[in-house]
Amino acid sequence: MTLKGSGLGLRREMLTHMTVLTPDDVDFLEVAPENWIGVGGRLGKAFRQFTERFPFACHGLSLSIGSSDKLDIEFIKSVKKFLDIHQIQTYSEHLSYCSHNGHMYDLMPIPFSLEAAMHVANRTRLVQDIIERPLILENVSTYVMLGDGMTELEFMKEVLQQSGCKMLLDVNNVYVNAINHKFDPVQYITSLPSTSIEYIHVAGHFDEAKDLLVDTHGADVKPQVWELLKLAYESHGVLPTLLERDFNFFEVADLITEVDQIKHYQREASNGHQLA
Amino acid sequence: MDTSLPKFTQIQQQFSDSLRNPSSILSINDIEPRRLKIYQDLFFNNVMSFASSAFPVLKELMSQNQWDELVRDFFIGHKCETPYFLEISEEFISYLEYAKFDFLPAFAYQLAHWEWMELYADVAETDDVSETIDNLDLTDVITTNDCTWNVAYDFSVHKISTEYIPIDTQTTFLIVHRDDDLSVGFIEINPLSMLLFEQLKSNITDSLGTLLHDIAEQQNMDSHFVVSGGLEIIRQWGRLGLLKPS
Repeated sequence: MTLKGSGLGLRREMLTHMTVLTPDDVDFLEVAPENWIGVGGRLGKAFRQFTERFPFACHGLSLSIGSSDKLDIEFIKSVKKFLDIHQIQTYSEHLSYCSHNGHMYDLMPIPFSLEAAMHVANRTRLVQDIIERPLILENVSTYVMLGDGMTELEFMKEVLQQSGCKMLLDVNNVYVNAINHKFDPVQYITSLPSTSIEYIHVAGHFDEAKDLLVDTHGADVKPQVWELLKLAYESHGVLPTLLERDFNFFEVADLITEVDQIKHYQREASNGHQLA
Repeated sequence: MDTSLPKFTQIQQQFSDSLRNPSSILSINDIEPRRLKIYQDLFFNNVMSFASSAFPVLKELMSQNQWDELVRDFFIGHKCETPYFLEISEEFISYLEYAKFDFLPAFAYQLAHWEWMELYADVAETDDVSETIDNLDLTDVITTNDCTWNVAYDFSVHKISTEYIPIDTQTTFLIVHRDDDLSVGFIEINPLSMLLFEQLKSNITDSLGTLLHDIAEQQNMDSHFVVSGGLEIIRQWGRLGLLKPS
């Protein structure tokens, strides 16, 4: 099933609070397969109650597509099985790496170079062969630039072109990186190939300093990021969009308010498209 | 640094080293220390939160500095193979088996294993669900269901807390069970019950009568005692939902 409308990330810690959600509140949910593969008991049961009621996307954490460690083929096969069992078509991951001589469980910035882009593209094709779906790669937030002759935009476009994979456009990450590495977020978003973008993430961030933002998923979405979301709709069409919010909120109702904001911009952009 | 490696791999090696061990010298030029520190803190706090939430009892028995030192040593020295976040605790246990710190109590590894066992019983994917069986008889052919786990330790790990720190070893047998409401509980059993549970676990065709007679013979014990006592225990386990027809 392809995604539609607005979505929300589902985390284990939030499971009991999220049972109040209905398909009127949100069109789809997203989970990290790493947190649910092989999980039974009360958590597995609760998860099945969600998958029976909502369309799902998977947003992986441990694939480590940019790593110099070997791809974990057994793991990728388990992801494929999980996607099949729960009838999930959408599998996104991070254009990043989270392992070097073993897993480190968080995202590191790939040193952008043509050599690294080829490495990622080769691995991406291999993953796509196994999962029998397009791999959808997300632009990640970074706090240091280890680039070696390429910009982030050039690197992203090179990987998309070489591998034929799709993109998950995270507009918050574009904004965070634009501040952290001093580039124009408008030019970044409008330069992306529309046909490659599969869906969008939007989230809040933390202002560590004026020139250094951190992608925390722990705050409301900032006005500048909403503006970039509107720009993305104008440039690439009204795409399915998911709110990432991991902590620092009181009630699920607060998340729904932000999801409603996504719906509002989606309606506004659709009407604009119809008028144009 | 192996210069035959691609340049991006060399950078990844240096960068990941500097996150695992912030006191290592980073030779990548032009990285602002405050930016690198964001990564160093994010990564360590992440691993720390996994370890602290999986092993609250072990953590409580140490000072914060000792716990930091242990988790840092794990992050630097242990190569984590699992892509699954719930299994980071298993990586930590493998590390702990060989960790050497004066402040680590002799039971640290076994206590950590027990803390993991309780979490594992909560989340493991099993084919069976617990069902109560009443009125078991010596002619019944019975085995254990796969949402029960039996474990043995050299210390009474299930009692350890800041109030109770064992000094001597005490062989301890425990059965962890996931009940029909999917909550997890455990019972402590004696060595003979442990033997009985293991025999039941691998049982395919033997009736309870045959199985209990065999145990009496192996153990050179009075068979009337073993059969009547054993059946009573098996009936309790049946009511607890630990068993299923073989």
